[in-house]
Amino acid sequence: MAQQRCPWETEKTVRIWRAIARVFRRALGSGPGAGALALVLFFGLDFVGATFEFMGFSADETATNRILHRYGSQIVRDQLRVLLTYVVVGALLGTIGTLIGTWWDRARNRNATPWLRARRGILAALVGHAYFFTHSVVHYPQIYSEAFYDRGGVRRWAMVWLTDHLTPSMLDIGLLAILLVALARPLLEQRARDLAFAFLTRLASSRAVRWATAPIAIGLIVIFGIAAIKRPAPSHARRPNVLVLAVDSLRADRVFAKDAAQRFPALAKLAERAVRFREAHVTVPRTFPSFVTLLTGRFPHHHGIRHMFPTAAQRAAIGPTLPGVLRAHGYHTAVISDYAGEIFSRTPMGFDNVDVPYFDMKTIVGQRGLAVHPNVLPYATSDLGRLIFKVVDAMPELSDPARLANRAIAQLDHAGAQPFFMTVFFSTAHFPYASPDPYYRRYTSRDYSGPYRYQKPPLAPGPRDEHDRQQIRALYDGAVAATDRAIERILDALDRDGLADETIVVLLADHGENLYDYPDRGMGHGDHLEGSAADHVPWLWIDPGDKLTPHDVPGVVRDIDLVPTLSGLLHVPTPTTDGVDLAPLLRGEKQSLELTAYQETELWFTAGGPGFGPDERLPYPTVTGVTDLADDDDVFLQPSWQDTIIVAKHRALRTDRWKLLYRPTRAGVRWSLFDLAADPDERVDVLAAHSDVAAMLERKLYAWMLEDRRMSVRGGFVVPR
Amino acid sequence: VKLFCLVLTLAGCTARTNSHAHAQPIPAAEAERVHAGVPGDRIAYRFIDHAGDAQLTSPPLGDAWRLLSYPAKLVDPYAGLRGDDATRVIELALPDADVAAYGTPHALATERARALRFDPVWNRTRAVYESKRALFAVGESRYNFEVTPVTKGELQLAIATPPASNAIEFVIELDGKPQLKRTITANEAGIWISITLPAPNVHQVAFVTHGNEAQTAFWGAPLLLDRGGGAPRFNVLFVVIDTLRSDALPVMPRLQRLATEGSLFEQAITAATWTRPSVLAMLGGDLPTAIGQSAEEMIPSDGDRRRFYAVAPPLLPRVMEAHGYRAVAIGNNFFLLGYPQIGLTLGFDEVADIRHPMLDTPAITNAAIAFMEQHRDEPWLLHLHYDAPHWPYTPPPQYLKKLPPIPFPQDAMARDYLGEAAYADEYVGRVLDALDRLHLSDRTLVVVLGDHGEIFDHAHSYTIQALNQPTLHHHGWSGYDELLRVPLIFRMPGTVPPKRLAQQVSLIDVEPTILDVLGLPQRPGVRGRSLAPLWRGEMQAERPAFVEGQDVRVVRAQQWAYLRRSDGRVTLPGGKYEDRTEELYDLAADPLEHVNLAAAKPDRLASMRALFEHEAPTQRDAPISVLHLRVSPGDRDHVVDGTLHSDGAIALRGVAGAEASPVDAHTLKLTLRGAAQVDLAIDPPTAQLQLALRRDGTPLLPREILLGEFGLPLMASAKQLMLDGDRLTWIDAVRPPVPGERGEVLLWRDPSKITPLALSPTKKSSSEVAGMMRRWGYAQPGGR
Repeated sequence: MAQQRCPWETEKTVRIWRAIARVFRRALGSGPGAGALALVLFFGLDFVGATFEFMGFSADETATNRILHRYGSQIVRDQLRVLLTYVVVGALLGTIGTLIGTWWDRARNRNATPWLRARRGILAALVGHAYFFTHSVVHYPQIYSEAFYDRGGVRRWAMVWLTDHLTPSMLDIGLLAILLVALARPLLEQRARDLAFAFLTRLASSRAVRWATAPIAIGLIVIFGIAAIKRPAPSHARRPNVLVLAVDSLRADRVFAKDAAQRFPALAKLAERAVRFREAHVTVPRTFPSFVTLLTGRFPHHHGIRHMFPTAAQRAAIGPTLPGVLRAHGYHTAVISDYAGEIFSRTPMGFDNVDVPYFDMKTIVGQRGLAVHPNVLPYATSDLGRLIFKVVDAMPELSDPARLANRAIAQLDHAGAQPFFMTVFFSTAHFPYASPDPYYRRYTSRDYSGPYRYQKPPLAPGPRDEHDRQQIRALYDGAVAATDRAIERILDALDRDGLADETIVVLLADHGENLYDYPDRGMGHGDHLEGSAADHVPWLWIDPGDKLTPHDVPGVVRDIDLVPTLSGLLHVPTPTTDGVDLAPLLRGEKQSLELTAYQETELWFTAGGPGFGPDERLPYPTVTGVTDLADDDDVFLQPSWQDTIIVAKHRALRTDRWKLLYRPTRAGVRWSLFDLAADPDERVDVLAAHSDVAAMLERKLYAWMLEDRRMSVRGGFVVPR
Repeated sequence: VKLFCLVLTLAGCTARTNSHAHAQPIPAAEAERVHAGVPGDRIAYRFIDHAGDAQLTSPPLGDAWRLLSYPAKLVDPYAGLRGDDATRVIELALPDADVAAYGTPHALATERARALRFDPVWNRTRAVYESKRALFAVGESRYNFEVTPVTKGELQLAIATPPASNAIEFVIELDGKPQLKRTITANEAGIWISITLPAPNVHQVAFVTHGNEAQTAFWGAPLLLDRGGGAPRFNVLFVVIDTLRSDALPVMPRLQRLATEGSLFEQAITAATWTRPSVLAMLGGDLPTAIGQSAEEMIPSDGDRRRFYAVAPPLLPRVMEAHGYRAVAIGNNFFLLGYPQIGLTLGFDEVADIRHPMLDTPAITNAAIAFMEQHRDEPWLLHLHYDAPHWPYTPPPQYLKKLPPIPFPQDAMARDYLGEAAYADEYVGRVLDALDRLHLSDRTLVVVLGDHGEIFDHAHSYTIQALNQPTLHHHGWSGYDELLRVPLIFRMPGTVPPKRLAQQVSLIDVEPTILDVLGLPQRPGVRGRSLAPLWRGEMQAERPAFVEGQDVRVVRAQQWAYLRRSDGRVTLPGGKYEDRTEELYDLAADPLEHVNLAAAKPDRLASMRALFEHEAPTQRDAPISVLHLRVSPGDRDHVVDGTLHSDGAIALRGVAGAEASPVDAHTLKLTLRGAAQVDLAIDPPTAQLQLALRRDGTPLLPREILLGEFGLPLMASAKQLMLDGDRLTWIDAVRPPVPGERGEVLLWRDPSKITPLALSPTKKSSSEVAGMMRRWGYAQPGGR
């Protein structure tokens, strides 16, 4: 009687299973195979205890379904890529283990059993992985803090221990020591010494080596020779280069502080030899609208970017930009940035070379897919890994200014005969203030155990006490210090490449940052216009060609003035702008042009916060309620909310002496006036005492707001006609 | 930068807007005429229509509704309720996964139904989706209805809980006494359970549920019948056969026989070239654009959907329901349900959407016969939608064998298509047989028609570049006669004479014809005209037929057809590019439309252009601009009262949590308690408006009343709130203002003209839609 068989026990399937088992056995019997299998285990382990949350919010079923529906195949591809990375890295490490093992075997003149080979492969994979992983944790703790620090318990303890006690160089030395011991241990045996000696002798006497030596030497000489004479002598006929060093969220007080020389030496040194605009103010303290304002020289109601989620059509219609004009006049234009610079990839602003990450819904899905696998992050975030895992460039937790400097220096080193306009935009000082080793611990305290140990995650709850606030400021300073060092390297490269004498260098920021200077002003930028921490930015200007002497400029200047000033200096036609040429200030002919700076808030992401509470703002839904996802995965503001958001903006006007604030609320427009001469921190509203000044400035501010032709004044409010 | 929050947009839900319009009550005299003493049952009370008047004690419905994670749901847009009350009447579709057995008694596979994957856009998972207009209940709840007692009263309804919910108890109390207790266990969750309960001489009906606040329950399509109370004279069986060309009729013996018993319109022209707009036109008596949703967009935008429900066109099912009918739809037509994004709910009491490409035809038939057997003596509109001739052409093989040779375009797939037509014919025949068997044929108006044809003529084969779609074996985006001409048959012995009518008629005439036969009043202002005079032999001038489609519109008059594309770029087979913005055909000389005369006959072209412009519909505006006064929720409930005065006539459109009583035609007394809203219309919209309100007895100052789209105190400096002239436009709001949470008093007005959304689909998005449609089987791949 035939035995009943399960369907999967047919002859064919049994054969297939046996074949699979055989492949596994063989793989395990070889070092690389065993190494690969060892790391593949991590792929599985990563899922244990992984939280399927999106940026701190558990995705509900509908959201999950929508994501799976729209991005299912991408998710599968990403996960396969992670798996493959584990296999390749494991195999490579296993190969190293095998090579060392073979060396040991030869020394002892014996053969390894498959099981021994497997153990060696696994050991090499684990040791290698431990090194890479710890190294990366210590170097970039922010990308691991969600998986370890934030989850508390032993994970948190282990991470803190690593970052407190180890540095990347200590780990390098440790690994080197292990490798040396592993390679040298067999030399205790005479046979191994003989083998090594014989090998080296054979190598030295081999024809190949002899034949190769001469060409290599000649080659090296030629390469260095070319490098030495490559740089052509500066030709004075051509226009100067422009290097814009833009630091996200950099406050003016960090550059102009008394102790800047100790804390941020490169910035301080740059300031020493620059024209220092002490009162530079931006129009919209948020990156996207601010950069468009800066590079078009036009107010937001003229270039159309009023918030960070414009539609593709709005992004395409910003009008002429300075880089575009320069490009038409023979400049090579380039922008280099990390995560905050994604705006340049979505908006054409006239750059030939756009070396910035791209950010959309797909990027988020990709990043979340990686976040499940902390063990693959050391490889994914490596220089090689970034080519395969492109989404890591857009990770706010991974914005190492040193890497940005590398990319900028590479471009400077290869600058051709064309003059260039290069913008390097550093994101590190933007929250989450994630700076690499050693900067994240430079100003912070080891004893700190709150939620912001390595960074200030954007969605983490607000600070509980002064310790937390102190920590956030220290993280920010660390991030500025990291950027400072990168700027130093870029300026050194400029010197080394002989470009310093023909390059205008401008250091500026897209906006500043509130850092709990006052409890009613909170943290961040663009949500309110109380105080100037968010709109007051440093401007340093070096122009070797025009022989500007370093000095302070106390008068108000605006972001819109950059375009006319630069185009004046470079002798190219000025596009239509709202700004003025600051040449008289640069040359030191005047202290102030008595300019008026205008400001507006951006989009409110949340229902309220310091400076935009329920009594201080007009209500509209949170960011998720007003934005939508386009077919090309781009996020945009729903057109029906556009007017509401513009009507709700706070506006301000600033002269050398006064600041006037307009805040529409449902209880009427709230006006405030501050005397900046007597009260630079803007703590005392003097509207009642200076009603005549206020009335004059009100007219001015209305006139500015009504430059937006669609608007009219009704009951004191500026609303669409 | 800082795009960290975007993910949450994925969770963002679609706001639904409720309609302002109520179904009009029936004048008594007319009701008398319609219920002309025919033996049968009468619908004495439609609970859904009175949901706003019912006394409800319940945990907050709105919150429970928002928390209800079951996706196949919709707030009924036609109930005319506002605020939290809007969720009293909902539409809910529950799936029955056993399509093969649908319509016959079978065990319900709730497990399988629960495993079905929800598709928010196309609803393409195979199953039967039974949707009912229902009362929504949560936790410990009670709906109390005061009804007019009838001697032989009987309650009919279906109850259900959402899939995967725990046991909840349903109780029906008649005059305060529990008459039925039924606990729906977790096992039975997610299916409709029918209930019939005698309710003689009952004054009060209460629908009560017992459960916790997380549990929701549905009272589906509840009706109080008056057994033997006298039904309307006629029922309506309205059968649409999808994609049926008029020249397929020779392979359909049953329809041919039907045509000899009734009137056949030999030159019936569809109003739109694909299903949703076409069905809209036949149920609405007008062109799709004029009804409120044009034929251009496969997926209506949120704005389109809102406008459609705001206009609330009185479609045939809603009109018949208001006149005492039960309106039921059974078919394979995913545009009939409102919760997937492609669909619009049309106001049927119950819809069974049978989503299966092969098993649908027998399932529709069985379900239709079962319905007629169960409701033999009740008044009904039964709408069947057969999908067989629609792609894919996969008839059961036996129908291919007996196909007679008929004149039809030479095409490899023509036989398969005709096989499907024959297949549908046989099953429609079974429904007609059942009608005979139940002795209903004499008092049932049978209407059978196609919603559009299909392109089989290879001379009409090319690819529309703007849509990236081929025309051959497709419909929706071309406009030749083979796509426009459909069968149209009316039968009711004694009323409709056996005739063949050669005059050109349009499917927009179908609804006025049905109303005419039923003796219901015609609606003024629609393009459709009753066809009854034609079969009565009265002379009527033939009217031009206008047809809407995607990218294409057609006007057909006398012997001429004029086609116009919004984007005329087409690629011919072989890759040649051509501009087909305008086409002109002489149907008398060239009935197959092979010779485009647009260049050769400039005079005729000019006159057809003029006719096209004359006939082309414009988007219907919302009826009149509606004014909204809202009190937002606050920490505690305030009473806001006062008067609203206008020079114009004030018409109340809806109230929620408020009382509004007219003092005279120009003055309204208002009382709003807590969070509440009053909607009203003022005619003319330019009339002056004055508002004097008090909060808890203290006069509200003009600065406390927030005006317009942004909710701003625009009149802060005024002494009293008086709006006239230009100031009236200050309160116009493209979108309602953000309400706030502090008891704000808001006043705004829908703009008097809703500007049509001028969004032409981009190449990219439309090619994506095209790709999606192919992947999901709505359109077949390639132009074979």
